[in-house]
Amino acid sequence: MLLPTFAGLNVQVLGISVDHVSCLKAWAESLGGITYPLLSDFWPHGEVAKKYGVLRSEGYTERAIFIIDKTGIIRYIDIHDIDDQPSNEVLLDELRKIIPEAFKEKDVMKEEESLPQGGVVMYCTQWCPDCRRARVWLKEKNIPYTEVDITTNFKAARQVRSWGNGFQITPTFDINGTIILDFDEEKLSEILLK
Amino acid sequence: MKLKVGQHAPDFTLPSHLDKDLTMSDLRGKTVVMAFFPLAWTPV
Repeated sequence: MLLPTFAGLNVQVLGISVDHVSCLKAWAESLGGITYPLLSDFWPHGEVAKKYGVLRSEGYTERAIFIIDKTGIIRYIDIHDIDDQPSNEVLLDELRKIIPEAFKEKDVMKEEESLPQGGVVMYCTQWCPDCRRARVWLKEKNIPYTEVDITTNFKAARQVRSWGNGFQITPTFDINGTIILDFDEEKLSEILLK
Repeated sequence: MKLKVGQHAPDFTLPSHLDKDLTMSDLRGKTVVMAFFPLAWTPV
C-alpha cells in the first residue's frame, strides 16, 4: 500500500487502473477508504496507460510508478514485476533526490496541526473541479474564507471523511460549525448571503 | 510508445473514485507519484 504520508511532502499520490469507477469505489471501501484518488482508465479503455506505454496486451496495465516533478517533467519511471508491490522506501529515496527541500521542511508533520475554527473554512484539494468553482463563487460574493488542502493535512482528511460519513467529499465547508458537503450553492447562499 | 525520464508527462483527465474528475496538468506545483496497478483487489 502506498503511503498517503507522501502528501506531507507536497506530493500528490494517484492510483490508476483500467477498472470502472464503481469497482474502484467498492475496492477503496473494502480497504477502509483510500485518501488519494484512484483514477479509472476504463473508457476509452486504457487510453492513459497507452499514452504512458504501460498497457499490456491482456488489457490491463503494468505495475508501474512514474514520478512527475512540479513542472510536469517525468523524473522517475519504474515498471516492476506485476506481482511485486511498490516499495515506499524506494519511492521516498527517489523523492528525496527530486525534492530535497521538502524533506528539510518541518511540515512533513502537518498531521498534528489543529484545524482552523470559525468563519468560512473550505476543505478542498488542488485538483477538484468543484473546489475551483467554489473558489470563484466565494470570490465573486466577496466572502473571506480559509482553505485547507486535505491532501497535505491528514487530520483534515480524517475530519472530512467523518463529516461525509466515510466519503471524502470536496469541497466540504465548515461555516462556524455548520457543515456543508460539496459545492452546494443553495445551502451556501442560505447561510452566507442572508 | 515508451516514455523516458526528462519528457513531459502526457496530460489527461480521468474520473476518480472520489467522484471528481482529475486533470493531470492541474497538479503543476506538486510532485506527483502516479502508480499504475493492474486491477482493483490487487496491491497498490
